[in-house]
Amino acid sequence: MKIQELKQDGKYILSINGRIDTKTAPIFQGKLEEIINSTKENNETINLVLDFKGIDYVSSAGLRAILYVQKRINSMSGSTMILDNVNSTVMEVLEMTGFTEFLTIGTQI
Amino acid sequence: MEEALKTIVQKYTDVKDWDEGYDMLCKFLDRIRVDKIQKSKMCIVCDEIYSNISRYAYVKKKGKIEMHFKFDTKNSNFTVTFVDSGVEYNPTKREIPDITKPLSEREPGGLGLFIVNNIMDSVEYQRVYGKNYLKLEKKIQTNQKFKEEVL
Repeated sequence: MKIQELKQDGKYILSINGRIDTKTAPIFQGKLEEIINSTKENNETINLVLDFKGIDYVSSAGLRAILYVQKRINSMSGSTMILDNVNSTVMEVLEMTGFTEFLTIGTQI
Repeated sequence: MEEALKTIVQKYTDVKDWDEGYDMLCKFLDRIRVDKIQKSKMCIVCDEIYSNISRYAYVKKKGKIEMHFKFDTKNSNFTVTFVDSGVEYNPTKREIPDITKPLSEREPGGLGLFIVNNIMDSVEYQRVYGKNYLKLEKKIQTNQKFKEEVL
């Protein structure tokens, strides 16, 4: 898994390539935690965009990381998180687990 | 006529070994010319089971996971059987998580086997002579080129 960062038009875009699985999910979560912690320390807000265009699949370990990060983002007034360019396999997993009910998924970039 | 393709992979349990298991699975699925979507789904399923066994089957000791892949060309059934000698654990008896709960009430965990059950057509567990056998089956589509090659 590779993560590329880009700050553009007030958005913090993370482009993820590969798979978010049992092995890579802690790295994915760690990166997001680092960004969120830095945002909180600076008393800022964040518009986080997770670009999933290069994602092969997300396992339940990845879902746990997304769940954790979304909870943290919700606790930060004015901050948002969007999952963008979600492929059909990832979307199916998000739908079957009910994650589409509380995640924002769309084409925002 | 080759009626079934079969590959057997035997591996030691460790989360870091999943890369190799993943490669073997992909090679098998590529051989039967499965499309990207079905391939991703089978990878998710095997990832979930592999990581589950890696973390819970063997307490304070290193053990083995075997992954047996099979594709039956007669009925287009892909079968993967996981075998381990760890503690007895029947994942088909696991409680189904409530996926209707709002974010604030969601707890991490429990989704892996739920996903597996949703993707696969059948999930069967057996404990035989101190080993766990978890057999997962799914009817999958292969492309015409594969059928021409094999049938």
